[in-house]
Amino acid sequence: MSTNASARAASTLAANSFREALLAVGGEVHLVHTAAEAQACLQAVLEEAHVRELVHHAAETLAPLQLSALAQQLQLTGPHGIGPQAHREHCARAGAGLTGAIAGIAATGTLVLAAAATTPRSTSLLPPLHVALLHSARIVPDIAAALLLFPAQALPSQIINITGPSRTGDIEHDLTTGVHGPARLVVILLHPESEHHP
Amino acid sequence: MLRVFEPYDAVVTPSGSCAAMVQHYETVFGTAHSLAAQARALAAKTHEFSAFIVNQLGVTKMPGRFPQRVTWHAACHGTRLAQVRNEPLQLLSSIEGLELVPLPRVEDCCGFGGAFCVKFPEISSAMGAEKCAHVHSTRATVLAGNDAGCLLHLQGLLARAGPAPRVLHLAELLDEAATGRPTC
Amino acid sequence: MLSPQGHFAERAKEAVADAHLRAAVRRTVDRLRDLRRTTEANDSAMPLRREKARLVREHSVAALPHLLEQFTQACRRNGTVVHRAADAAEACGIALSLLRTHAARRVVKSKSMVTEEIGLNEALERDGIEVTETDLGEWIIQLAGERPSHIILPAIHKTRHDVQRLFERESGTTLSPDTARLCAHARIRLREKFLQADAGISGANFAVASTGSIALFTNEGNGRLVTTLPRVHIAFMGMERVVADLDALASMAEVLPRSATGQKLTSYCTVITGPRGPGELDGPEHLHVIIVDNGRSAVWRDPEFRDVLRCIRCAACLNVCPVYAQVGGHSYGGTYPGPIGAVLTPLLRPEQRSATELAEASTLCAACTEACPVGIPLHDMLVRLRRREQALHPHRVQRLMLRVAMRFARSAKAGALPALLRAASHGGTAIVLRKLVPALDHWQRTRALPPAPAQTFRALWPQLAQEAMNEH
Ligand code: SF4
Repeated sequence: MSTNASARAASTLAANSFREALLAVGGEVHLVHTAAEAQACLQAVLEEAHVRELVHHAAETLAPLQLSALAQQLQLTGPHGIGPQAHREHCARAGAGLTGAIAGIAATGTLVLAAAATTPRSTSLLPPLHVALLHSARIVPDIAAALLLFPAQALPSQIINITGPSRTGDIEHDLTTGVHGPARLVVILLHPESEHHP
Repeated sequence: MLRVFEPYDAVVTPSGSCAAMVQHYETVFGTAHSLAAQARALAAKTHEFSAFIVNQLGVTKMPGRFPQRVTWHAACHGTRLAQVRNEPLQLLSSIEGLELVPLPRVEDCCGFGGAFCVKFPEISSAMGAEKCAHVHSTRATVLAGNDAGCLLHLQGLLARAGPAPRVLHLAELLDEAATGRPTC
Repeated sequence: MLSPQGHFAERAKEAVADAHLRAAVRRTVDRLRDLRRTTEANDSAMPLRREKARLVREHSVAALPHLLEQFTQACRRNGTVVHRAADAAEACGIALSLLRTHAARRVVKSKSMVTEEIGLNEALERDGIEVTETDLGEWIIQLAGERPSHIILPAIHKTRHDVQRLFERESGTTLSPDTARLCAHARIRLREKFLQADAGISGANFAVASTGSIALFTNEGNGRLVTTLPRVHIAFMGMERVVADLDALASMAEVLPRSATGQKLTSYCTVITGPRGPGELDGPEHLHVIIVDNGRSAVWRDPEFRDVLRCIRCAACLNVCPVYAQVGGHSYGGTYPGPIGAVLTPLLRPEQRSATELAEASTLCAACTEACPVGIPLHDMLVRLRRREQALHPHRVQRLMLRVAMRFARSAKAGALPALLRAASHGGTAIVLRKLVPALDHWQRTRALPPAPAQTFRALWPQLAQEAMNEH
């Protein structure tokens, strides 16, 4: 096997493990292979959920999705050129939040996000639906590896590890989702076909 | 105790709890105590009944017949402190005709707990009642165990509540199987 | 901390008689421990994870003063303000003055045991501050004016109908007793509170010394809201929560959710390092951490009990405790119920004499020690507490009885035991005997006395020994 092929095999394994772990905790995963598929998948998810307003992280963290293509059907609000108050109001109102994950954790099906000017916290928190884009190459084995991705001397103000939708069992152990955070978590897992397909 | 048992090669006790206590003597005295060495020696030669048969005598096949449904009470001190877990089950399942049925929530304490059972009689009895319900659910005709305290407590509870399986110490059961004579 | 009213024994007696409470507690602990066991059984690395977690906590506790210093310095670099509070009053006082400084009148809280330990809510409310617990279970308990009965699931003793009534009273609306609807109602009601709040108060599952971070593990997401929306965030932590670095934190993340609910990871695990950064649109502008001692230093200096500070509050010990399953959390009187509470409460509150009784309320079955992911020898500590209590306040009657029993056992008359048993189970002597010996009375109320043997083992021994010799 070429280096390329074995890297791809490893990332396929990681993607599968991530997917299984996330499904087990009630998350949804769409495996896509191309940018076009990712785009179509996003569109379908938003349509199906009747989302009219979408809050999103900065476009540069969401490549290769083309947000502008969505602008005809939806109101789009990103973090640029907006104040804290307006950002909060949009997030509180929006039907969905779209984020680009820094990493995924294979063992637990966890999305790793970090707070920054381009990637505010509320986007993945206030709307009832959280859609995240994750590149399979960014999947690491466990949480120790995920935390190592950040420079220990300059950590972001928040590292947010998300494993499935918001849930509670506080009333009679009846598992209910979406009590405070999003009731649905949809991950678009982009696993590109390798150029030299074996 | 240390003096009484000094001349013997092995000390066998019918309760895992007692075995655990003796094995614990050294920490009770403290390692610096003048009797620590003696305590260590006693600990090394003290064995719970079934552990003695299986691990010291190397015997795992028991003679006789015992054609009954038997469930086993795994006493806490025997299992968690004296680390005797499989030995009694090994002996029981070697007996011809004996049907060993697992006790649900076998790891739960029965509520005896020494002085606990009279200091907190309500809690102790409530714990015991749960254990008895599990015993009944197995439809066993015999509840066997290797801790005299637990058995005393469970026998007392079961007897009060109406028709119940017989409660036997492992030694009594083995004797009955071998001789065919009922113990009680 | 609210001091327990009356004695454990009395509260426990009431709890045991409450069939509804017992069923709820039983259902909860069985569920949680089965979840944990299933996860552990399917994870061959679990023993390793536990061993690593134990080492991490052992090291953290050993190096505690150093790590706290390191944590404080790292916080200074990232803009977190650290406060140290010697006791409950000081901790509440610091929070109050911070809230005043930031002109904060409305506070949202995420679940925190240490704030319960110091009685924070009461202190804030006395000052006219509106405090809303936002963990669903905690909110239910707050509305009911009660205290949590389980560390992880505080409102397990409330039915959906209880919850419906509480929510209806709070909101003045009519609701259905459907769980999903009730949760949806709570989401809307509490979302309003989040959006209005001036300050958020949280606990900290862990603090990371090398980076000056705190970590929060939650499932509902309220922990994230508390640390995202209000302009001030105050985090309380017991001083033992600190671990050395991110790798140590990762090791904690591997065992805390697994031991608590059998989850591989909670829905949310947030690592917070400083307030909102430059250009960020959300997150608190001010971040304060209040490190609470409240008796912990004294425990740390005590070699017999220092290890209890390893505790990560996973509640695995509660979920396997046969006594807890019968009496529930309220009986323990303190903030921390179950085995960890029975050990911790008397250590943190040595002046509270009634807390020492908790150590007696155990059969020493050691299920707690077996379950504890960080290897705290809980049942041994209960024995040590009993021993200490005996040394400080010798129980005269008990001692006397022990001495009499010893004499009796040693004397040649030990054969009198069967006679005594016979007497105790029949006729008029029985009544007299039971009155004289309360233990006997306590025994026989629910349990039959054993049949008296015809001969004692001691009497049989010479003959048995002879037979054995002859066989050889
Ligand atoms: S004592 Fe151990 S088992 Fe109990 S809560 Fe603490 S860490 Fe968990």
